[in-house]
Amino acid sequence: MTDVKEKESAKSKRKSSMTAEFARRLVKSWSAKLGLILMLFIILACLIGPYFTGYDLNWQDQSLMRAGPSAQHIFGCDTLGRDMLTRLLYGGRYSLLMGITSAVLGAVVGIAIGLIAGYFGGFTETIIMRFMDVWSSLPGMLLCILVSAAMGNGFFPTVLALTIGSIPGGARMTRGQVLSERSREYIEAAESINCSKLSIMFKHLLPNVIQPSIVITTMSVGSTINMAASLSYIGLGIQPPAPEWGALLADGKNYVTTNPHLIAVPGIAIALTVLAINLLGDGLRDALDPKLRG
Amino acid sequence: MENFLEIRDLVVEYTQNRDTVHAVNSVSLSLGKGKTLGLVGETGAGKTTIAKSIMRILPDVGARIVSGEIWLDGENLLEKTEDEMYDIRGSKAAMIFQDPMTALNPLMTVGDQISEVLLLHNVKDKKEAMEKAGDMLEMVGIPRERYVEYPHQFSGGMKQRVVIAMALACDPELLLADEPTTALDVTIQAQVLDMIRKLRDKLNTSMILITHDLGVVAETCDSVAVIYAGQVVESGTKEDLFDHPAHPYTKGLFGSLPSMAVGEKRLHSIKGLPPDPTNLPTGCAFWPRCPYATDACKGDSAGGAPGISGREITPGHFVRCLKEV
Amino acid sequence: MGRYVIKRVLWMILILVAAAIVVFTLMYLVPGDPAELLLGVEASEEVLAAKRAELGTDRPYLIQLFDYLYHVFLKFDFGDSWRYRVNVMTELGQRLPRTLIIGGFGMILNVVVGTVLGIFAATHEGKWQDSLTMVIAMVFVSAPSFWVAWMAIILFAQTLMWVPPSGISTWTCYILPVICGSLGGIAINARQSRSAMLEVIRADYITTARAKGQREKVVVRRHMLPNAMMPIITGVGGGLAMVVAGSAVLEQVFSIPGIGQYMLSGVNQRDRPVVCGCVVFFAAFTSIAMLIMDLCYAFLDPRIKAQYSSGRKVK
Repeated sequence: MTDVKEKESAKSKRKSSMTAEFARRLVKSWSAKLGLILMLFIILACLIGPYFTGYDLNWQDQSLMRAGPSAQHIFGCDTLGRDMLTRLLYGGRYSLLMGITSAVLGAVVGIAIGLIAGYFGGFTETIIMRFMDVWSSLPGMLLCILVSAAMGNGFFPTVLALTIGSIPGGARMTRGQVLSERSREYIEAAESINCSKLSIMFKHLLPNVIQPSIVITTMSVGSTINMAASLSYIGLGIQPPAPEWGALLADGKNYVTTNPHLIAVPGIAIALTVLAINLLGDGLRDALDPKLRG
Repeated sequence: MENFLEIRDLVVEYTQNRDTVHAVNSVSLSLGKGKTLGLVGETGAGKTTIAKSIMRILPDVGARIVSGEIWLDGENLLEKTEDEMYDIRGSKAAMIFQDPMTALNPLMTVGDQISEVLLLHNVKDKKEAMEKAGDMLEMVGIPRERYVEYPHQFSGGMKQRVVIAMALACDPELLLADEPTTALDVTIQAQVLDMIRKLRDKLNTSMILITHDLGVVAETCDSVAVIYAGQVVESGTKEDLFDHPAHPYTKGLFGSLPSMAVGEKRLHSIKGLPPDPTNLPTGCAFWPRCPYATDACKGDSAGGAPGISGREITPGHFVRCLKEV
Repeated sequence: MGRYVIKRVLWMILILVAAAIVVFTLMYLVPGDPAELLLGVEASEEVLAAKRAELGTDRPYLIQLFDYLYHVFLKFDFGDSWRYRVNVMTELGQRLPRTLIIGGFGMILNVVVGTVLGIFAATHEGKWQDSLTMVIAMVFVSAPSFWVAWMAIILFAQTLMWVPPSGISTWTCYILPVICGSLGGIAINARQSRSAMLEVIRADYITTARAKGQREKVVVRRHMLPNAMMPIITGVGGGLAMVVAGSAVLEQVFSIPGIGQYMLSGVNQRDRPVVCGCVVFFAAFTSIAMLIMDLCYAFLDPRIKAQYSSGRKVK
């Protein structure tokens, strides 16, 4: 009796110490710390910042068209004389929401596809993976451009385009992970006691293959924000007057040489946000698997 | 220097995320020519680190030999330059690694990996090296036609044979065998061990055998050193330790061997876990698990532990314990 | 091995057909009547109908699709641009060298500089050289490439006036596009090859090689590099996809009349033959590169080679 109890307590101890170890490593990694702080700052700024800039999103002063930074407008004004800082903070909501939604959606679908392909194997796997081959024969950016063109501009079509572009990567990686886990004994054990396929896939396999996916998804939030900006720049995706960061860039693109602040400001905002996300992703990877450090 | 290998007060530390891991703490060992010393202890006790310190192949990043001397055949290896070490590694001292699955370069044929070490030391001519490598393969029981095959074409036991062939290719005077059979099937274990013993006797090689298998020690070694938390807690001849173990940890180790005696119902084990090497207990490292521990064993307030520095109970039989047997 | 190559090439052609179907379908779904887009809303119904008949857009989807596939894969004809009435294949041929210069040199820079930086960082792990390289790489991974290009134009073309800001009038025009186009890839490649190297540095067989008494330089050259090449090659493949996709945006920034810009103008003008032609070309380019990459793998790694030739030789 006591043996069993001891075992149980040892087990829960180990579990909690694993979480603690993860947290300890996460806190110890400077990149995670920096990324997290930056990220929190950016999110907070975008959520509550717009109410403190003193200007409305559509406040406009035509005498200040493309005006450079000044005491009243620390980031200057845009092509129509609107306060850049206010638009930037509002726009951050679009960019972050779009990046996170597309990356998470893409990851969820990708993981599900990878799980099914990897676990069922055989014919199902062949069909799915061949399909993925076709899917990823077009570089993600090209696919985004095409879907965007077909679906039209705006928030949801763009999210759809970005999601479609990010699915094959997640699917491939999950399948690879599943393949290496599938032959492990705990899966055989679960099968031998008649666990349903669904429960094996989601209760046993998923927790063991999800760690790298979490890292990749974090990173792909960043690359998605970048891609969204590129889409806006080439005239697809979200277009002005929406204040999304890519749209801000697109808005200022004709004044690159004359009024560089129009593109420098949103560009730096994008770069900083993506940097924060990548730092966080690096930190997560280090904390989840010290083997993969680098 | 009467002993072929003599290690004095070796201290090795690793730095990991700003923590210092005290891997080896003032270890002294000695080994005569042609003799075999068994290093016994739990996983993580510092056995492999000792062996790698002798070869001076500890990882560049993080590992550091803090102090100590390692005398091999009258020369202090720790004072040698890296260039001088190149000539010692693989020829005078060679090492067999624990995991044959990962110890071979997957992109090179096994034959080339053996001739690589030959070309570095004994043989100048490429053709001759290939010939000799083929001989080595045959010596460990692999047909020489398999020279051109890659590691993935071999089974685990076969790979370990290749590793052994590689280690013995230049007739080393000192062989460091780091758990050479742990990763292998039980039936293969006996074969490989038998082969190592035969080759050792044939070449009159001195050997350090790292293992946690006491049966292997009994069959193979002349003397034994028991390592706990980076320290030698007891050392002596095989007979000393098997027949008159003095340290509570040694007794616990031998106690945990299942005996065939009638009436034994349960396996014995040592209570508790090995200490965290980043945070060793003061005094004797074993006291938290020791059934005989007294306040004296916990060391004084300054962290020192007078008297726990090891004593000789019979000639050649050292124990690091306050307790009188 | 030969059988494997043939199998891969056949498979590649199938993928290209599938990619053509995908892009054709997507462009078919683009809202709006192409004829009306070309002739304007004032055009009379008869004129529009004539235009639709001329373009073939009055036929059902499947007929159009099979007609397109037939022309592309059996006659190697991408059709004429709807707007400019110029054969897409001819146009691609004219623009190809410009895109190849940017893509090719970008790729070379990507592989050479990225790998060297990664190895440099890995061999200095934990020292300031490593941190500095990785911080810089991180910045270039994060910043949007077209934005970096703008900044480069402002600095090097406008302020310092070392190179022209756009166009293709002299060879110096290509300097900025090539560098800007490869920066992101270099950064990604440097990070990847660093982790690949680090993994190999810690591998047991490296310790084995050192224990043999092998010189450190030879250990790096003979044991580490070949093993680290595998993941690095994968990284190169990813980098190639980036170069291809990035060329569209980059050519736009630098006003270089290459294939990427051609495709974008096609997208903006809903010019289906142009878009489909460019995308099929890009897909073919990527697939061929992937094929070469896979063959490199097989050439370098005996384990993979064994898989491919297993039909021939039984172990």
